[in-house]
Amino acid sequence: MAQSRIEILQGTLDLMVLQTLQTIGSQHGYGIARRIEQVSGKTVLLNQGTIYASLVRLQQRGWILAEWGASDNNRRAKFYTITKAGRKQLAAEAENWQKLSEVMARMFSQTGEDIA
Amino acid sequence: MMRRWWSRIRAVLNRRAGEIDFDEELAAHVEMLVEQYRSEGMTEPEARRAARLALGGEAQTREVRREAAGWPLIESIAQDLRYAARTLRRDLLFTSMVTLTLTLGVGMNSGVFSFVSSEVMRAPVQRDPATFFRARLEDITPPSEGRSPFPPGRRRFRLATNEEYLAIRDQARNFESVTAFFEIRPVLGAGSTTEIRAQLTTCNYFHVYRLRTPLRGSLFSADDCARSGSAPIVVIAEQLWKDRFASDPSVVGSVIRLNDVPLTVIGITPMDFDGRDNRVAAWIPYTMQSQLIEGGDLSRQGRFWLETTGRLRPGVTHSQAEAEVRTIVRQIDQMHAPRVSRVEVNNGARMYAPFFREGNRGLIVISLVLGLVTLIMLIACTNVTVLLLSRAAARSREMAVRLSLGAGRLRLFRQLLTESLLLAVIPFVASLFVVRWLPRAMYRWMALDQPRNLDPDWTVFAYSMGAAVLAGLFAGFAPALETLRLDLSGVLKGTTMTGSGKSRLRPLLVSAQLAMSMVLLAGAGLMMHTLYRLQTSSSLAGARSVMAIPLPLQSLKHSADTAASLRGRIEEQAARLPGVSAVSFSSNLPLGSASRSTSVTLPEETPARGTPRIAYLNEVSPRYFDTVRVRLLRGRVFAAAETQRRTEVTPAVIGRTLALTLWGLQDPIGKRFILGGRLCETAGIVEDTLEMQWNQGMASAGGAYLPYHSQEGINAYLMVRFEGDAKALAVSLRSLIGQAEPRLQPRPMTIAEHSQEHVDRFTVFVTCMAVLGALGLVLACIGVYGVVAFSVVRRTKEIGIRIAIGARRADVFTLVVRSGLGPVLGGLAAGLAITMAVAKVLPYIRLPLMGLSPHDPLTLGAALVAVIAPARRASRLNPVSSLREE
Repeated sequence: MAQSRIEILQGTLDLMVLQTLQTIGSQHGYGIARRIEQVSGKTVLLNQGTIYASLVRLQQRGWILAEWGASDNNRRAKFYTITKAGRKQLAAEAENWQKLSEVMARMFSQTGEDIA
Repeated sequence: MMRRWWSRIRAVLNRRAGEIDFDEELAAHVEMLVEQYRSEGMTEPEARRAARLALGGEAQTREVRREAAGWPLIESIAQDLRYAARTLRRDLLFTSMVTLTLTLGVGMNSGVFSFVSSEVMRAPVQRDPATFFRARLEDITPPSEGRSPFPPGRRRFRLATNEEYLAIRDQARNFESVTAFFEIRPVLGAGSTTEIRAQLTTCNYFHVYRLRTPLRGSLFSADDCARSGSAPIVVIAEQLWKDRFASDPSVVGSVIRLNDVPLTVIGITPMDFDGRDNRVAAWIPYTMQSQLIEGGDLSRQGRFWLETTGRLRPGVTHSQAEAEVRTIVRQIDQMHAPRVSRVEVNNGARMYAPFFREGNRGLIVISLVLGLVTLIMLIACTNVTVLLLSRAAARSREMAVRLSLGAGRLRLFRQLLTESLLLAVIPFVASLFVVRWLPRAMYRWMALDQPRNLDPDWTVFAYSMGAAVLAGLFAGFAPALETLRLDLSGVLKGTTMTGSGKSRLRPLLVSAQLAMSMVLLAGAGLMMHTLYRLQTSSSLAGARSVMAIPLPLQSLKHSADTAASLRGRIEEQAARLPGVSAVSFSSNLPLGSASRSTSVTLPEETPARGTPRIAYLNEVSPRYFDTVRVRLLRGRVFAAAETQRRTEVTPAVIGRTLALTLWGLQDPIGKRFILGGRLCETAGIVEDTLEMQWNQGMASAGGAYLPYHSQEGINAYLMVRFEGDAKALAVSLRSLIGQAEPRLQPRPMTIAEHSQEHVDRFTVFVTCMAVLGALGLVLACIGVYGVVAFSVVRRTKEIGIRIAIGARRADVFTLVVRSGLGPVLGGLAAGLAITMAVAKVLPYIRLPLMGLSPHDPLTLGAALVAVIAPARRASRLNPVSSLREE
């Protein structure tokens, strides 16, 4: 179990949060955390608290907005929405990731003979 | 970007509001998690626990978020500062004691640095110091090729030739202006013997030194330097105008005589003019050189005579200018092969002067002085360390509580360091006043000329800051470590105090303090000893009964024969004056700055290689040894006939040290050596006099006396040993000399008076060192007392039990003294070792220091008192109350 979970990097978490907000729209901290866990199939090791550091950072960069609202069962909660700048950033970062992961995949798929 | 900063700033400012807001958000999150887990079938408490786990702890989440939100470092530092300020305010007595101690250490250190910096490190001009430069040349011709006029093995700094000056002035593009000057000591007024300091300068001199308007009259114009001898004019200093011309305004336009050359005074410089180097009283165009001094036209012979200074163009650095001058000088060197010169362009500070460069003397002196004051600062810091340590004990419970509540040790450590740094803030501020005040006070006290550039610059500021930070960290580091090294459960249960485990720190502190103060005292003791020797040494004690009168017959342009007969007449008549027991002539004063030294070799040695031995040289008439009372140890002094004419081999009387240097333990009488190019034969050995020791150092081989040739050496001192009233004798000598040569109007002074300034300066210096040493010792003793007293407090319970079960007072006393004494002895041993090491360095700088006798008994005695006092107190403990204490 322990081995199959991935420790995630700070920047990566920011990206996950952005992507989540892009897909499901306005959401509160708990919702975002739960969504990430679900999507990752619980392979991501997440202290849900760290979501909030990420949310603060994204807010400071102006990529998300926050406002108080009511949750599904009428609880007061803070809801976060992705901004235009946030979408742009996400697009750029996503492309980066795509490239990087392709490169990484190729790197790892290489065998000794390929190099020779 | 701006927005991110802004939101961070806002986060810092609105921290409270933001956090309350977040608390609510977090609570909602927890509730949602709980609901989720409950719906998965957990009980309420189980769900809550699981929620907290999933979140990773509420407090931690807050911390993580806070770090992301604000500037975590700045914010937490601000928090530390607030907390530290609160803590320090709570214990005002403690805080003020610590502050006072640190202020003493930091203030003194910075003040002395400020003094040193203004004295030796800054450009010697007040106006516009940043652009000032001095170009210095050094002859680096390899000895095998060159006919270098300098002895090998030493730095051969030299002045510039006219050719070099003109080339630099005309070709260099990095300079706004370049001036050159040569210092002379002409006699002022016809028939007088008063020498003044004057400079032969280029005509833009005043522009370079930024004097725009003179006090009266005018300054040089460019034409004045156009042709040799064309402008017989002089600019004089206000001081000279006051002293010699009673501030008479009609002096401007009148003619005065310098070395008997008539010069028209065209202007007067104001008192605060900073072009002067130590009381230069007159400036003359350098094209007047061949009229004013003997030796022909220096400008035509490729002679090294000009000192070159000037101003850089704005934005040009000294090293850029240096590169340019190097190219120019290299071209000139090529025309004078095999000469090779090194060029240096610096800010003209005294630390670049040859005297300070020789053997890194300047660096060593500066680091010794700053090292001593830093030692005092560290001793003071150690005292503060002791205070902080005892407070660490008192705060152990607070720390234990904070630690068990989850504060990080690193964070607490930082908090404690913040506290000690905060303690250094007031000392720093205080030192900013000291750096302005102390140098001025020191100059006033020493009655020295103030340097032109006395206001502290940024280096002084940085130094004070560094000293304060160092002091704060040094004082607080160890206590902070100690505070956090506590036994949590023990402290919380109240059974142990902090650091009651064996602490190696405190004894170490005692040792360090004593070692430091020992070094300090040894230094001070050394100086005092030197002063004592100086004032009681035979030659100086006698110096009050020897009159020395300069007879500058050369300046009066007498022929050698007339001069000789004049001198003979004066000598004869002076000897007949009442109270006079011996009369002689000497080319130099026995003690003073006008010392002459020259190289000494053995005839069989090849002169080129190796470090030359430098010996002191004084030419004296036979009765000199009686007059000044230099004891003859072996052989004989000169015969009267030997002073009449030169012989191929010059008889010499040499000091014991020189004899030892040259021939070891062999009999020196009749042995030959070469002194300044003259072949000499040892006739007698005399005891070393102070002047010889004064210059004793690596290269000095002692002193030698040669016969004073009445036909040649023309300027000389008449030396008269007398008993009785000096004033009466001075009057009769004066009239006697006036009758022999009316143009001579000397002011007879005793040797002691002549050298007074020399000795006075040194006395002031020594007194400073002694005061510093004493201060260090007092501080160290306070420290030792503190440590021992603290250890008594810590062991109160133990001692109480010992007394309760029957230990006698004497036992307790011995116990405490014994445990206190170990580190004391260790410290003294370490101090002695360091002192010895430092003492080894001293001779290399050829400072006037003599004999080494560290006053260890004093240190030991003081330290004993500091140990015994708390021990006595411990032995009088009341066991009942001491047991109740905890």
